[in-house]
Amino acid sequence: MLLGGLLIVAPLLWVFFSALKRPDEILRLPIQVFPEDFTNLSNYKDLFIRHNFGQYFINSFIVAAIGIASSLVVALLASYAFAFHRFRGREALFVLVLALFMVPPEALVIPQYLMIAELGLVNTYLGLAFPDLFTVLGVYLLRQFMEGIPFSYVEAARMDGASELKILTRVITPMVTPAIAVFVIMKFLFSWNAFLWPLLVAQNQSMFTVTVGLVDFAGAEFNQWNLINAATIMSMLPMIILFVSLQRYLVRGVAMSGIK
Amino acid sequence: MRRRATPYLLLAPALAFVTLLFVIPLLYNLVISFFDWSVIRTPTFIRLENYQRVWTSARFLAVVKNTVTFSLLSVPAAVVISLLVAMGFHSLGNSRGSSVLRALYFAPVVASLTAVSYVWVWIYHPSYGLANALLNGLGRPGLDWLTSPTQVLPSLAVMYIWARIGFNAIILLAGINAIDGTYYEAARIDGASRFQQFRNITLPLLNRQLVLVITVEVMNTLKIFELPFAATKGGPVGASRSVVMEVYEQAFRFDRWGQSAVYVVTLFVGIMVITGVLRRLLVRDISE
Repeated sequence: MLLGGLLIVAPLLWVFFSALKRPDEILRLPIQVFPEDFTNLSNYKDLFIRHNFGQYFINSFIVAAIGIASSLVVALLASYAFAFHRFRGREALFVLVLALFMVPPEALVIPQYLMIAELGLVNTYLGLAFPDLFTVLGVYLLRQFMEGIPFSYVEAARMDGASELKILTRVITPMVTPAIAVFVIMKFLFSWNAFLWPLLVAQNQSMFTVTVGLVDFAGAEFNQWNLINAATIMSMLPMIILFVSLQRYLVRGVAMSGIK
Repeated sequence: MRRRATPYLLLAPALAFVTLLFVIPLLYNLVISFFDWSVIRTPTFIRLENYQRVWTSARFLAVVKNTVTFSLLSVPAAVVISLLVAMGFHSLGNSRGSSVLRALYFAPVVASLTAVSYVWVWIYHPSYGLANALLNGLGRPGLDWLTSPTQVLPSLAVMYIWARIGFNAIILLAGINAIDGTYYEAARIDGASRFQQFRNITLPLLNRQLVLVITVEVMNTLKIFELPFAATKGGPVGASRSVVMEVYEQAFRFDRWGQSAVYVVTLFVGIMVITGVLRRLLVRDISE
């Protein structure tokens, strides 16, 4: 198991070490695994000073934030209705929403692109976040979690005359924070790593997200492997930090999405 | 008394987005597929001509063949390795070392497939890459990992499998951990071998997670885009061009949106049919 684990991380370490090498050092034969100077961060500096990676990072964060905010609010409202209201068509609607899990996002990009082009949203943050404004996963995870909350909490609040919105925000939302955390992390992961959609929508370099910027950069500097490796590591950095600090939530999120 | 309309009001934003992001695009796509659709000319209705053109073209057959081959190379290996890894973790239990080890396996999962592409393009680099250096070290000649038409799909499959083991293993591990340990004890007392235990306890009780992992992987590999786009540009000579790459190229490179829409319809129906058949074949209802 340990051997397998090392085999899995070896490619990442190789890229990490390569990103610390000087341009002449990286093209030396026979190849050396370790860099001469482990503190050589000049490649990383280059990405931000001579290239646009700072902007790409800001863009990716903004797009992720819009998508997370919108899909979380919409999912909270919908899952509250599914969990604490009895109404006609409840089951059918929930099944319909779940069925959307089966629709691959790739099957929607062409018409979605034509739609946002019509709306003048190409090269805008709203356009970049467009397919992320709502996610089935959010409704599914939050409803699942809310079903575990005893109905009496809601009933008691209703007796006290609290409005439905107040019950949702003051009573239910605090109780589902673990599910919200899982959802936000998963959503951030998907949004940060998305590629096809931002490739279509971000047509100006100033709007590139990190993944689009990485591909553009690697295409332009196809021989500067010290820089490409640094860019690859940089593009993963926020996810690696998130992963190390919140590993439990991430692993739980993946495991939860498997329990259907 | 609660107002009757309340639940519908709560659901209204979600349903609005479902309409905007799913229903309209799916119908819109179907409409486009019947048109000679261009961004510079007025679209004209041409009935089924796009379907006929696409489905009879050599390019279509080539990208479908590439994509299915990639899927067949990736999915069985990814599922089997993930299952072995999950079983390995299960037998290690919940020690501190095992959570560190889990982190190692899970690390590539957080990488985007674009980042995965460049990690491996560098490993596969003909002169400075680790892969050929290792082969040479073993006294073997280096390979044309991404530059030979016959080698490129297996090379991409290796990248894909590497990136997905952690994700699948976590799902399977959650399933294995949920299996009641007394089943195994009883089987051991009855003298069942480890293989028999695996066949008669683990596999059936893990059915739900296994089916999920298999269908997700089939779906993901059939709609693969980043790996061939970033790592090989679909090359060499189109040997790694995938269906979704063709969706992109038909629309954005050739301005043939109608034909692009046909590829989308084909992909969508193909994924539905294949995953549907797989579910039929694989799902075992085990009620105790």
